[in-house]
Formats: sequence, structure tokens, C-alpha cells
Amino acid sequence: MIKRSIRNNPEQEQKEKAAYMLLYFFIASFLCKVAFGAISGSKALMVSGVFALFGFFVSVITLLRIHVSYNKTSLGKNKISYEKLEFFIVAGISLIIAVSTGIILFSVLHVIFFHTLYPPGFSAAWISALIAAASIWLISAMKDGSEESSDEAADSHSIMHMVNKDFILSITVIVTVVVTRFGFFVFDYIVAILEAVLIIAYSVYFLYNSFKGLMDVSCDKKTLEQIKKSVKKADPGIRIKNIRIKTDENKLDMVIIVGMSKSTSGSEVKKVIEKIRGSLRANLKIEHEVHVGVVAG
Amino acid sequence: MSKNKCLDFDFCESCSKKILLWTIAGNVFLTVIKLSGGIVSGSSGLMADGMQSVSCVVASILIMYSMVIAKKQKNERYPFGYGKIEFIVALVVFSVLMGLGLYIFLSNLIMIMKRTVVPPSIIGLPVAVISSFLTYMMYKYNACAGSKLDSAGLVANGLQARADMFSSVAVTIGIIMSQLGPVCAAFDRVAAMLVGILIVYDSYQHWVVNLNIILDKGPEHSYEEKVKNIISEIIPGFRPAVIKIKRMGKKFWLGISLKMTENENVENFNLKADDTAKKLQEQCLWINEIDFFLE
Repeated sequence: MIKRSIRNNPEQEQKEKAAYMLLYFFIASFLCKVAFGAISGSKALMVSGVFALFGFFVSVITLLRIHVSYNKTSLGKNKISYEKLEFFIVAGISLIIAVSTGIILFSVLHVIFFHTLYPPGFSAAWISALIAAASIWLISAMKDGSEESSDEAADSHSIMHMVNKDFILSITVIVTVVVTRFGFFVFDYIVAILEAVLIIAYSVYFLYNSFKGLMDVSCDKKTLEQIKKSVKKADPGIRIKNIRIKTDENKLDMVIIVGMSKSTSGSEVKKVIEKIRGSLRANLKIEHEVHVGVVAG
Repeated sequence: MSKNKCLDFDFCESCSKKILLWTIAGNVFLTVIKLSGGIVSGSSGLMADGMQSVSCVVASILIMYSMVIAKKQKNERYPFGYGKIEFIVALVVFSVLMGLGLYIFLSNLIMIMKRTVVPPSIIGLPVAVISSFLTYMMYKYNACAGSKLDSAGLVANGLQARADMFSSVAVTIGIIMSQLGPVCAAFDRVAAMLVGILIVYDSYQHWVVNLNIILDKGPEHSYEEKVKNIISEIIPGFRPAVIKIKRMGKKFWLGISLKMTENENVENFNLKADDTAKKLQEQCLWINEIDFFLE
């Protein structure tokens, strides 16, 4: 069980509360969908439950990230990067979900071609309607929540995107149950296949992003361009030789090597470095730490 | 760094490419003969061994690809280079190996418990012997290239070939023993179980090493102190305030703060930095690149 934070940081409390809401929503969605999918025989409902499971794992990781970033937890004596550990866990979960969903996809295809098809029970529609209503309530509750800094907006955007997708999947199941009432039993299986493809696509997306993170990818192109522009703004005469960026607990840790004339004195170099730092502080919204080196040329 | 470090890097590198290609070809050949031999002789051990060879083919292709990518120059998107891909692929290979080892152990245990040990025909024996020999050769060559070039991918490939060799030897023993009577047929299952445990244990140790590299596990605290002490010797009276250490493949990138006085110019600072870098790399192991920045 994740240890509750000491209640002396309202911002952290609010974020943890939101993360817990999402976590409970996704686990409830998963359990209900899988259980009622088995009871009603709706393949579409069962597969959409796998998506909710994915959302649950993403919520757990978000909660851990909030906990670590506020409590500055270190990992062991020779500290490993929490960021990398998170990427590794997400990659592992994505791979497991992609493979299991692939197996489910093949089993549904097998049923379509080699077995008798049955319509799903109406309970699938009822539970999906309930979960869809819960999604709407959650989305509106989160929108009324706190403002976020731009660096956290990306994380919450991706989780809310998953809540939206879960809502759409729930509605899809309701439509599926209604359509199968007209004799198109195969519709349930086709929707299950499409959902499985969506889940695999999501898994591959998360896997790819985690892979890039493990490969020490720099920040996104937009931020990199902002950094370069800020440095140039400080002194148009300098040349950027190298920029090494690594993320460290939601903070950018930069080492920028600039080129200047070899006769430039120490005092002039220090002035330029101060200008670079000021320009980055003014233009870069993300929390950062910058070190500047200088080479001739 | 390995004691068997390659003295002629270009030769070792071109040799490693040939080894990988021959390993892929060898594993394809082994897959075909094992699967056909398993079907003809009725040896389930040989069939399972054939499936393992399929995974070896896939692993070798992935490792070859990762070695090509790892050589790419660093750029803006990947300022620390592409070296980590070898370790990521090696981690995947070791994960598959552990899974295979576990599967070999459990499947043979279940067969013994269910008393469903079916003695295989002697027809499978030449296939198992050829497989044992070929996989041994693949293991030796990959391990040699891996140690000379310090390549995680080649080491992983070699260990996968070794795991394949162990299971082929277990199948060989099983086929020979089963000719001595139905009671002895169970011995090959026990041998296969021991092989499974060995594969899991061996792979796990390499898995942990690769995982620590991927998770950017830093060096011992004493390493940072050593770097500071060396710099204090090079520049008397100075001790760097900031040292950043980051994994860059198997080695490290160091970012070190250096003082620049008002009287120094950029050229003097660069000479001081180059001299410091050269002496550091002579005295400290595991340094890939060093950047100096102003304190």
C-alpha cells in the first residue's frame, strides 16, 4: 500500500487525492467490466476491462511519481534514477498488456471462425452505462480541480485522455448490446477486436515512449528550440556547441557548451553566462538547472 | 574493463559481424534439423530445443541491429549517444532466457509428476549431438568477441548459445539413457530440469547487471571522491564543487565544474580543461566523455 503523505503540503495532498480518485475509478471499472463481461458473455465488455486495467497501472505510477517528487525519496545507496525505473515499469506493463491483449484478440478471432456466436446479456449495457456515468462525473470533478504547472499538465492530460477513452468504450459496449438485439451477434466480437487493436496501439505508444526515455532521449523538440533561442537571445555572437539535457525528477538538468573567441576574458565569459541563465529563467517555464561551459571557436 | 581487451579493434569488430551472421545461419539450420528430428523421433525434448533455436535466431537478429544503432553518433535528440540500446536488447534476451529456463524446468517437472515420460527414438541422437557441437562453437566465438569488444549484446548472444548447448546436451543424454530402459528415460527429464535452473540462475545475474546500467545506477560514492582528489592533484588548491556523473553505455559521462579566473581567457581555460581530461582518463576507468563547465 502506498504510504499516505504527511499532511503539510496542500498541493501534494490535492494531487494525491486526484490520483487516488483515478486509481479507484480504473480498478472499479476493470473489476466490473471483467465480471459482468463473464456473466453476460460480452467480449466487447471484457476487452474494454483490459483498457481499464491499463489505466489503473498508469494511475499507480502517477501516484508513485507524486509521492517520490514531493518526498524526494532516494533509491538505495548507489542511487538509481527513479525516472528510468518508471520507464522500465511502464515498458514492462505495456508489453504484458500488449501480449495478453494479442492473445485475447486471437482467441476472439478463433471463436468467430470456429464456434457458435451468442449475443451478450443486457447486464453488459447496464454496467457500461453506470461506468460511463462515473467517467462523466470524474472528468467534471477533475476539471474543477487545481491549476497545474505546465510540466505536470502533460501527465494529467494523458490520464484524462484514458478516462475519456474508457467512457467512449463504455458507450461502444452499450451500442453493441443494442445492435446484437437485432440479430447481428458478430458485432460484439468485431467491437472486441477493434478494442483489442486500440489497446495494443496504446501499449505500443507507451512502450515506445518508455524506450525513448530509457535511451536517454533529450527533452522534446519544442523545449530544445526554446533553450537554443534563449541562449542566442542572451548573446547572438556565441555558438552553441553542445547541449546535454537529462530530466531529473521533473527538472531539466542542462550542460550547455558554447563557443566564443579564444581571447575572451574570464570576466566577459562570466557576464555572458549570467545573461544565458537570466534568459533561460525568463523564457523557460520548466524548472531547470543549467551549467555553462565554454570552448574556443 | 575486460582484461581480454582487443588489441586490433577493427579486426575484432569485423570478426564480430561475421560471427553474428554465422550464428544466425547456424541457428536457422539447427531449428530446421531439431524440429524435423523431433517430429521423426518423437522426442519432445528435441522439439522444445528447436523452439529455443527460433528464439536464438530472433535474439541474434535483434542484437545485430542493436550493435548497428549503438554506433550512431550522438545528436541533439540523444546527447548521450545510442549506446544503451545494446543493454536494452541484452536485457530482453536475458528475460526471454529466464522464461525459457523456467519453462524447461516446469515442463519436465510436470512430465515426471504425471509419469508421462515417453522414451524418444535413437533417430534423434545425431541431431542432438550436432546441435551440442554447433551451439558450443557459437557460444565460444560470441563470448570471445563479446569480451574483446566489451559488448553486452554479444555476451548475451553467447550465453543464449550456451543455454541452447546445455539443453542439447541434456537431450543427448536423455536419448542415450532412454535406450537403457524405460526407468532411465526419466534421467533426461531430471537433467533438463537442472539445465533449466542453471539457465535461470546464469541469466538472472547478467539481467541484473544490464538492468542497473539501464537504470543509470551511479558508481560507488568513492568514485566521485577519487575524481575530486585527482583534480585537486592536477590543479593544486582546487576542488570541484559540482561533479555530474551519467551512464553513457557501459562507461560514464562526467560533467565537472572548473574555475575560470578573471585573468584567464577561453584558450587558457580550454588548455587547463584538456590537460585535466587527459590525466583523468589515464587514472580513472570507465570514462567515456567529459564536459567542463564554469563554477
